[in-house]
Amino acid sequence: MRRFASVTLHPAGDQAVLVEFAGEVSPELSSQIQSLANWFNRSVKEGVYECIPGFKTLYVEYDPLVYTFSVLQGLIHQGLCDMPKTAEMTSKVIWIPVCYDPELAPDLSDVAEINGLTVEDVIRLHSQPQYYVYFTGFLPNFPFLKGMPREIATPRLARPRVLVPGGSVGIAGEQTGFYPVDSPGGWRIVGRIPVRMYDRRRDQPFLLQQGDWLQFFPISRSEYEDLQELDRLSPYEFRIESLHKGRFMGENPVILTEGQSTVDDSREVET
Amino acid sequence: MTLRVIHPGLQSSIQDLGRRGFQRFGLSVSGAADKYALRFGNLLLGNPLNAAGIETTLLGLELEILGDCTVAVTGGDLGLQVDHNPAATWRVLNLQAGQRLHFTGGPKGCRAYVCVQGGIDVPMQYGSRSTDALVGLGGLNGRELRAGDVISANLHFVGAQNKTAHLARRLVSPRWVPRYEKEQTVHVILGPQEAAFTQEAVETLLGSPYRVSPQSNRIGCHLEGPFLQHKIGADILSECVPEGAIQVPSSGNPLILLAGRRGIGGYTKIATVAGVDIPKVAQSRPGDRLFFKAVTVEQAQSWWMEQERFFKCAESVLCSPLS
Repeated sequence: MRRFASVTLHPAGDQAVLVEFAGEVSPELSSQIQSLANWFNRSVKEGVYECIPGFKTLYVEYDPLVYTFSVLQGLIHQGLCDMPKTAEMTSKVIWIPVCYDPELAPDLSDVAEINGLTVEDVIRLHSQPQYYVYFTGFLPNFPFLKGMPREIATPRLARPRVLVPGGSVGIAGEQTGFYPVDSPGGWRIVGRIPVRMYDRRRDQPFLLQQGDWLQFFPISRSEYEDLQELDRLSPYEFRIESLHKGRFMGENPVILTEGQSTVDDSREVET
Repeated sequence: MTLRVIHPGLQSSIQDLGRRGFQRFGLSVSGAADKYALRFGNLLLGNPLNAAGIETTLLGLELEILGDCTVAVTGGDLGLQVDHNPAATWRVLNLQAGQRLHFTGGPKGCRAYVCVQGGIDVPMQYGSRSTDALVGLGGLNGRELRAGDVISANLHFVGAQNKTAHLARRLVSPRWVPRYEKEQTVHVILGPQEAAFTQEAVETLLGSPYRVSPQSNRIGCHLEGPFLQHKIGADILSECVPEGAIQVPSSGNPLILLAGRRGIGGYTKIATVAGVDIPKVAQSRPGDRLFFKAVTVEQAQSWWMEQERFFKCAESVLCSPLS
């Protein structure tokens, strides 16, 4: 038996292939996808432009002058055999302040009403879990997350907004996430982050990566104003906890920098 | 070698061949929607193929030459005039200070490229000069062009080259100039999710004309035509989407993604346009009709390789490397 999930290859035009992994979406599957991406980065020096993970797929963009589709198929199978079962990576928990003030959260009361909850329930349920970052893309630091409680799942707006302010935290079906920059969008907005989530003043502006965990924490309106003011002067310092390096981080993470904390309890929401 | 924007026209921005390798960080590839035309503009001027030019749409862009300038305009016939006189495209133009280039609207194609000798000099960000206006990267201050903007060529390159004279008579043979017809056959590779559609939907796509809708832009070419039925649903888990992907949302109207797309999408993709035919889609204008024809990956790749070998060969003969 092969020790990795079976895959199906779908050509995505003449310069890319989607490697679709069998199995349920999970941090473990995500780690396998990342492992194949890492193998490409390490072992293939020429002819592959980029490997981009999705929830169940790895998108491999290549130069047909270097690899034709049939040669690339062989290369992918070699990668699946050679790669470690799970990705080696440094994972972290990033704490993100969110103000759930109704003025900044135009859809908060609708989300509560649609789900038969109070606004306080929505805030509690939304800020409780730690969310696993499956991958980023679409916009810089736009995370694709899973693990939001079903109780607050709400369909997208029927009519998307022309402009959603950067930092807006939203719900779309069973997904949650935030808009890192001003953007059009149809997610239900339930809160706002006071600081720039894509900040080009930073040496390393891409804060989030696959395998990280996000923890939203509620702040008051006055804290929101203060943090916004401070962010104007210099980039906000997120509270970041490093997780154990070099092994799969899907469950029971070991926190190195902050000692054992409540993180393990909330992780159960995810699993 | 400087230009001033008198009127920005529609969706005018600075683009090169795109920003590759950063999609997983959320940066759009961007780049010229029609890279064939941009590359011919650069070949005419002896620029590297990846030099940045101005992409403009349909009509309205007006530029004033502030210092003597060697330029080439390629792409669709958008009614180019120099000082109110019709001017030729797909050839080198030597312009003097005070002259004006104006796209008055023309009969064919949707996008034109203004290339300048040396390429447009804006900062390289993440390996490209292409404008990604949503994120504010590339181009002139990370945005589309506005009236009053002043754009310079890469003078260092022009100075090093210092042999404009031999360029003056360069033009592209008509056999290499696309005809931008109102009805085009576009070759596609089925998938990656053709299995999410009924067999009838695949046959409908390949057997019916689709009309380009006025909603179309650099992000995507919106189409109207016979409904394409999904087997179960239109939505899939989000994943990376290639240029040329034909997404079909639940409305059943296809959308062909172009250079300005964001890298991730959650709709099923019935087929993907062959690389060599993406310029046809990028140049189709509202009302034009597209017919789709399926080919194998191998066939599409052999056309692509033939085209790319031509460009590599032409670049090595005609162009000087950037110093």
